[in-house]
Amino acid sequence: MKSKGEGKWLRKFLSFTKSFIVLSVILGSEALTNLSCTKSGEFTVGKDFIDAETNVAIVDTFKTDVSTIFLDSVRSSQTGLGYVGFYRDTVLGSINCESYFDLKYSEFTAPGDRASFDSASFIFTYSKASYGDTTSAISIEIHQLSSMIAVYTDGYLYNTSQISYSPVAVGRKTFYPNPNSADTLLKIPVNGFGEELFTLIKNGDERLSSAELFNDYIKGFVLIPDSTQGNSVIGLKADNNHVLLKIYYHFEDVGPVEKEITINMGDAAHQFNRVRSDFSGTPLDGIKTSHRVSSVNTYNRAYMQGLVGLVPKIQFPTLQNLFLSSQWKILRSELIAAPVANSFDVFKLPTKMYIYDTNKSNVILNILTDSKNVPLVATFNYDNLYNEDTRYTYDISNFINAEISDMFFDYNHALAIGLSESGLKSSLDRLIVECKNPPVKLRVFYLSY
Amino acid sequence: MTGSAYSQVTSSPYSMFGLGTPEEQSSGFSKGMGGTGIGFMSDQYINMQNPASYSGLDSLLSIFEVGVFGKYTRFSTIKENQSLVNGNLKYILMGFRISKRLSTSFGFTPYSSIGYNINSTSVLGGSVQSFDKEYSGEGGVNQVYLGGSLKIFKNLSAGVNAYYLFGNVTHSEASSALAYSLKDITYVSNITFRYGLNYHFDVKSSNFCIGLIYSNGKALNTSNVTTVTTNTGTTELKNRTHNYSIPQDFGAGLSFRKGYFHAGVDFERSIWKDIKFENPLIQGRTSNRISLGVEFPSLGLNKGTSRMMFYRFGAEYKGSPYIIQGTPVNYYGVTMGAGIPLKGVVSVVNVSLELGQNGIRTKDLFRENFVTLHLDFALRALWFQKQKYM
Repeated sequence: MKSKGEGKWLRKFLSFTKSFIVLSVILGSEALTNLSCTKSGEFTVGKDFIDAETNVAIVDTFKTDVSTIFLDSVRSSQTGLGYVGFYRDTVLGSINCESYFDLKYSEFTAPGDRASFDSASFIFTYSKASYGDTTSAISIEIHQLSSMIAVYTDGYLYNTSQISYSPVAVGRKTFYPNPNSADTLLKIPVNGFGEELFTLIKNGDERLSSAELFNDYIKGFVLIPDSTQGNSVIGLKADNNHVLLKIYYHFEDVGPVEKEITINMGDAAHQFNRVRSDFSGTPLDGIKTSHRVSSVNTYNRAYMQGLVGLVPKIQFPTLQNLFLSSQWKILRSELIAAPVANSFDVFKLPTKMYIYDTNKSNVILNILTDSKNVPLVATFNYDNLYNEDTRYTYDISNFINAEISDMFFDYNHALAIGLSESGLKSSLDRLIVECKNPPVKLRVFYLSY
Repeated sequence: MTGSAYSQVTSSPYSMFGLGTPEEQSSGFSKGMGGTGIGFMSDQYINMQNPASYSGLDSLLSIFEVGVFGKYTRFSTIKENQSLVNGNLKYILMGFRISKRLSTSFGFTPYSSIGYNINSTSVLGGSVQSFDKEYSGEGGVNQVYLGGSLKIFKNLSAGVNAYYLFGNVTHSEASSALAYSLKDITYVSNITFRYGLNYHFDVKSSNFCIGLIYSNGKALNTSNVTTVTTNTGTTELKNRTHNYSIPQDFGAGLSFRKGYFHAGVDFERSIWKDIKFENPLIQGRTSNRISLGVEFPSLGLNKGTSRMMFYRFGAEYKGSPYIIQGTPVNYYGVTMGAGIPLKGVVSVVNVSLELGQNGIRTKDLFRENFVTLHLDFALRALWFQKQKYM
């Protein structure tokens, strides 16, 4: 009895065991293909006695030579932004901005004999870009150009381009700028000019019969600031829809009927800003275009300002020393530049800073890009609280690695930090780079093995 | 994937030292008896621990054994616990008698294994910052062996296993934040031998068996390829060298058999103290292994038949092959198992459960507690004689 019972139990046990074995084999084969089930990224046990084969160290004692380049010229046409104003401070002297544009021809419909002129105005819209003290009144004159706006063979106009204009203003306005308002328009009355044009329209004058004749007759306009009033530069939208000449008139029907003629801004390629700077009495006094001034001679500062054409240049005089050892690689190279403390009260710090390469002739060559060919933008750290750690950090690994790949570092192949390509030609954003405390730093992450 | 599927047999941070974690050379029945096997001469299983034991193989049978395992490990430091599961093929063995005096066995089994993944941080030299770094290791040494055993006298056998050791020791380090990785692969190989003696005698109705084993230490042939990969490309270095050796090893075992009852004890000494570890925190030392085990059959109707089951118990202590900053990583384990006869292709399944502990928790070290399930599938075929009666 007892033995029989045990046999039964054993058979049950054996059949259970068989299923167990089948399961185990399945699990076992699973284990063969999937060796470890621990999620990587979490396992830390054992870290205390690893004999590491690699080390990474940062070296940031490379010397940097920083200087300020004064660009020969900055392309300033076709930006959709007009700057007018005069700004002076002790940092960079004065900036004088004039905005040029012409008018678009469209066939005029005669308003009829009974129509009589009321008034005429140029109407502008603020662009929200403005610099300096916009709480003081400024004065702007509008002059008619005496020669037509003609682009260079490259199709552009520059901050240095000059177009002659009539010494007599067709309009003038003194006002408190309101650049942050989207709906406040800036109106500059040009009644004399407007009435003359109205008469020609009314008479069906031949000079208004074609675009060619029209643009020869009305060559264009320039907005000129009065340097004796106010201390600001204001930005205006400069496109077909936001620069308008309006002529208001009326005629008598049952009662008076009010009408207007609108003439839009002309060719966008002809719209440009002329920006003149005067560095007299500043550290940059005497700087020549296409030249550079070392920060050693400018109180350990380097200067950047968009349309003025100032660009900080950075050179690495000691990078050749990188080649002294062979058991290493550069993992990352960072360029760190900090603004001069308290230098950004009037001109807000640009949040997006880019970097270019430049040469011995101080010509800006190409914008540096990341591995995805996207322009490299600096990481901007703004130390709101203590104002001590505000800085721009560029990952210039690609540049440094490409430079050293031939075991030779060319001192003259340098970097220039600045605004975006469009920012350079369409803004007056300013940055003053501290070159001593702290200096502009090159931080190199070395892997040794 | 150099190192093949057999590479990551263990998965333990301790496997980062030297050739990795040395693998047990026990198989089959021995797994359930604390790895005890030097003094055993089984007719049913292949006992590769002592090459002289092949003389005991049944003259009628050729034996084929496959071992696999699954292991759950819990790692504890004084601060935290982490666990992982791993498993793999453990061995493939074949054995049979060639003639009245000569038997042979050959097979594949790992000598050591490396498998770890550790996430750590490293200080950026020249700064106060640190960065995440992942260390990982894989590979290990595999061995294929060909063994022979000669019956010198009726009670005395001598045997030798010739091993071809091959594999790689691979350590990697990588940082995704800094986009680099280093992979240091040392390929190792050499031929080594294990010698064995077995002497058995009867006292009344009891049978005693004494086993002795010896392996000589040897430096392995190495060649290294280290690759460093960064954003700018990959550099291959061939001028690095790492030296690896296997230790000299002595062992003695005694077993006792009465009827179907079996018991045994092993003592083994490995001279790791002559082996140099590159890690400055690690020093080799002489490592002793002591184990004992018993095996007894199921009672009742099946006793003495081919359906008889065996139960096994054992215990094992294995001294650490090295000390880490003065602390050894000793192993303690208890095992239990069963040999379950089956009908069909697989004649017997040996199931063993091992409860073990490795290392201790100190300020810097950690303890591994694990449960390992060993499965051994033994296939027995009548190759040389017709089946007469079963």
